[in-house]
Amino acid sequence: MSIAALTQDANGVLPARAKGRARQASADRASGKGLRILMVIALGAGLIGVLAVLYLKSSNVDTEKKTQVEGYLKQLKQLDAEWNVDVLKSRMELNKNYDPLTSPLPMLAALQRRLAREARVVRQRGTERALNELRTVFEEKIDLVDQFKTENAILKNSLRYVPTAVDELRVQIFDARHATPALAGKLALLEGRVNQILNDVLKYNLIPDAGTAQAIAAEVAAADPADDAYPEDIVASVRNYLNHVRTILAQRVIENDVLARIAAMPMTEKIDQVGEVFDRDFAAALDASNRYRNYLVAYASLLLALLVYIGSRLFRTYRIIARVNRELKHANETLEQRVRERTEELSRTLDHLKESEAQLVQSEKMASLGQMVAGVAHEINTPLAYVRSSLETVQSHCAGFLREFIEEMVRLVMLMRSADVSERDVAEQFDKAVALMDSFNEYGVIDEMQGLLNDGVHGVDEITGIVVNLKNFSRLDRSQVARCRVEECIDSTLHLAKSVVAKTKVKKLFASTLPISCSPSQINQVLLNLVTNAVQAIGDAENGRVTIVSRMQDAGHVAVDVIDNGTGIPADVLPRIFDPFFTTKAVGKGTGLGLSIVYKIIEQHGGAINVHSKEGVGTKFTITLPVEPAANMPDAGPATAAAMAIAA
Amino acid sequence: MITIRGWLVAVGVAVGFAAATPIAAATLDEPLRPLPSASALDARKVALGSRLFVDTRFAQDNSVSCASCHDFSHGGADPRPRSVGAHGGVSGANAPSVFNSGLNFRQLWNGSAASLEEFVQRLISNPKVFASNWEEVVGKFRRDPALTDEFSRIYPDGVTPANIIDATATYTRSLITPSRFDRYLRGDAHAITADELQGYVKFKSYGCVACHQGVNVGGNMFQKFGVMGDYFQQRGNVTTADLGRYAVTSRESDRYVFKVPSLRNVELTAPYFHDGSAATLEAAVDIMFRYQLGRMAPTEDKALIIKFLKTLTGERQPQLANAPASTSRIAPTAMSVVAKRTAGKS
Repeated sequence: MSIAALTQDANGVLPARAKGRARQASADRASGKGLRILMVIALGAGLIGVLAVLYLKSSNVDTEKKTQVEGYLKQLKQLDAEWNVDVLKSRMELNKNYDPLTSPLPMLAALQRRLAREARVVRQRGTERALNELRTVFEEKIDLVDQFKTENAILKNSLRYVPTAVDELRVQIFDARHATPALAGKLALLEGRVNQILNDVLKYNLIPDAGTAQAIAAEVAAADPADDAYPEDIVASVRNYLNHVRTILAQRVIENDVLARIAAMPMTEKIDQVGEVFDRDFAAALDASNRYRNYLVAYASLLLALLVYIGSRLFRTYRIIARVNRELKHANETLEQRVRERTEELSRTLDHLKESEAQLVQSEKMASLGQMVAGVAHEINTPLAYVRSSLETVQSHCAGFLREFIEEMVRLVMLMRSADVSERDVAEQFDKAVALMDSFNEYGVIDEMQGLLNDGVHGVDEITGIVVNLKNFSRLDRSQVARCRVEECIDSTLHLAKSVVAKTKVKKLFASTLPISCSPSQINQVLLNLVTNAVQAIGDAENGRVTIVSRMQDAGHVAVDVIDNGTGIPADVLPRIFDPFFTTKAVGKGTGLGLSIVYKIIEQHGGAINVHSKEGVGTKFTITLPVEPAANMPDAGPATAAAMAIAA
Repeated sequence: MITIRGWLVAVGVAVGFAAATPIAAATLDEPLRPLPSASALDARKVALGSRLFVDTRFAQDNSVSCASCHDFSHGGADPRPRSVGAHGGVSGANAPSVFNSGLNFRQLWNGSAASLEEFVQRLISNPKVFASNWEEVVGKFRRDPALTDEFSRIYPDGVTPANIIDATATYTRSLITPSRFDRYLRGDAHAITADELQGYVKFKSYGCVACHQGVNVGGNMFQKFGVMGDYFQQRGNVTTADLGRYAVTSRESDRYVFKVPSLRNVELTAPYFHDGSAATLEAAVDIMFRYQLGRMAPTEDKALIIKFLKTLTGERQPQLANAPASTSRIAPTAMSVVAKRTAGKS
């Protein structure tokens, strides 16, 4: 809805706007209430949320976890130590199988999993990193232990075999010495070497030093028999034996290396590191937790204070509410009385208002009446004046010449009728009468009187005409609704308003319109009002001109335009000209009801009134009236009453 | 509370150790150790796992189950040199026995799976095994109301990859095969014959026991295949699967290094080695003597060793569960999938 529309149709829109505002206000209240509830809920949730967060932050550091983590770390360390022992036991062949080296694996994995789970309590990267490092070194160690098993098994196999191999070789050599005594010396030497190597290699196994290894390697090289020197089976056996000796030499180094690497694995350090980092992280978490506990205490105190405050506020509010309630109750009790008083007051005011309105309407009536009476009086005055002067002249003639002539004529007749009258007397009297009659003719008294009387008759006719128009104007002598042409009304109105219009040129442009059903007296009142306004708008301006146009708007409507080239109506005034009691005239000069009555009359006739005005150019009022009357016509409203009053 | 929990944990650890090294008074102090007599596994999970073990819905094309390669009539191993999975995918290695595999320190020939759980997890998507994915497997299982019910009774969150793995791994752990030799180890001197005992002595003295030791007679260490001679050069045609642990560590010393297999039920699990190259136990023992021990032995000694090895056969071989009734209902689904694909192509 645009502002323009609002200003144009103030009557219709204002209430709607007011209603809209009321609706808006109640909607605002409703949404405001919802918003407030939401805000309160959000605030409550926020407060509780902060409390919950603080509580969690302050309570999630479970000292139990620390004990658990420490326990796991201790277990891990112990398990690792036992594992190390088992590796050495396997090395020393105290363990008869490798199960003790693999059996800790599930436990190692489980402990690390549990550690990772429990260590999550501190939520610190440090612990996680330390645990990852620990896992890495454990994986490395598992791999090393796997390698140890592999290498140890090979070493063990060869170590276990070499004495057997030597025993078997001795038997072979014994047999060969008996079979081919020529080789006896050589074979004895071989046996000696084989035995020496066995001794050395077993010693080496116990004390693996590089020197011994070199010596054995040399012995092995020397012992390798030439194919042609010994029986085939002995060559094969010796080579196989030496192969195992070489394996022992190699495997012992490899195994030593693997064992050294296992021993060098920083398991304890890494476990301790996890412990330290965890302790640190845990302490930090604990610190944080304590800090949060302090926050929590502070926050809780704050909340408590807030609660106390809210409580006191509530208490106060309750008291206020109780008081207000009491007052309300009291007010309620007196309300009825007050309403009655107020109603009475209002009805009194209304009565007063009605009275005022009636008075105003009455004064408007009187004003209109006054205008019209002035006009009518002026109209009647002029003919009346010359009727009077004519009659006075005739009267003076009658008192002078006619009286003397009639007296002389009577005396003559008396003389002639009497017996003792002299001829001379009669003749003398006759001469007098003739002389008078001559002077009558000489002065033309008769003609003059005739003319005077004619004038008088004319004047009376004129007055009669005015009275007829006045009658036509009010139509008191006819039924209220009549069929008439607007042009008749216009003429009648102009006639009556002659004195008002006197100084202004009025131009009539009549079309042949259909007669309309209307209340002529009311239409006359409308026209009189419009013409009067037009003339007043022109004022004393020269070239002032009022144009009255009658035309057929369409087949069913007759339109009358009252156009003036006067001052025009200011744009800000224009929307209000039909408002009751609106006037631009000085106080006492107008009631401001004129155009509102006009509006009402036209409305009652089912017609319309439009106004176009431009300041300094002029104003055009157009009334449109239906040829057939509207259903609600006539209506005995105040306007009608006013019109009747005017007519009366 | 703190102390009680800590104490409980400590006790738990202690019990764990005790369980790991159950050396009863009567048990012989030998490199080989008897199987644990009792297991504390959840019977419901074992039952569920037993059904999953024969469920072909693991396979993308519903063609194979776990039991397809782990033949229970064949010591839980694959009689074929190379195992065949979904869509006819041929594995690089022979599937070893599933029996007692829970006692292995790692899974797979190259030990790349640290646990049974990890192993099962990897089998699903292995293109040569099940060639599927968890979404698909879980989807198939969830369409089976009976199976879904059973899962829900055991696991609050029903059918999930983790629960499928758990049930399957739990069942696998239940597949242990106590043998006559276990009874011997537990002190029953008459559980094995004199020859068999002789074989065991040879087994130890020839050095087999250097690697094949412990509760699972192997399965607790890695060893190079061809310590005392180049087995692969001799055999020729080296494949990726032959690289062994090298595939995991990329360490030169790990080339041709494999997990030492358990010798339990070895009588039944031919062909032998990761490549299934030895069709008989005799051939396998020969290869071991030559390439691992680096020595010769009289045929009688090897025969005695083989006699001993046969005492490691479980006295009661585990039996497969009946195939789930719903398996038959899978067929139409698979058919419809095939039909859909064909339709899509045409």
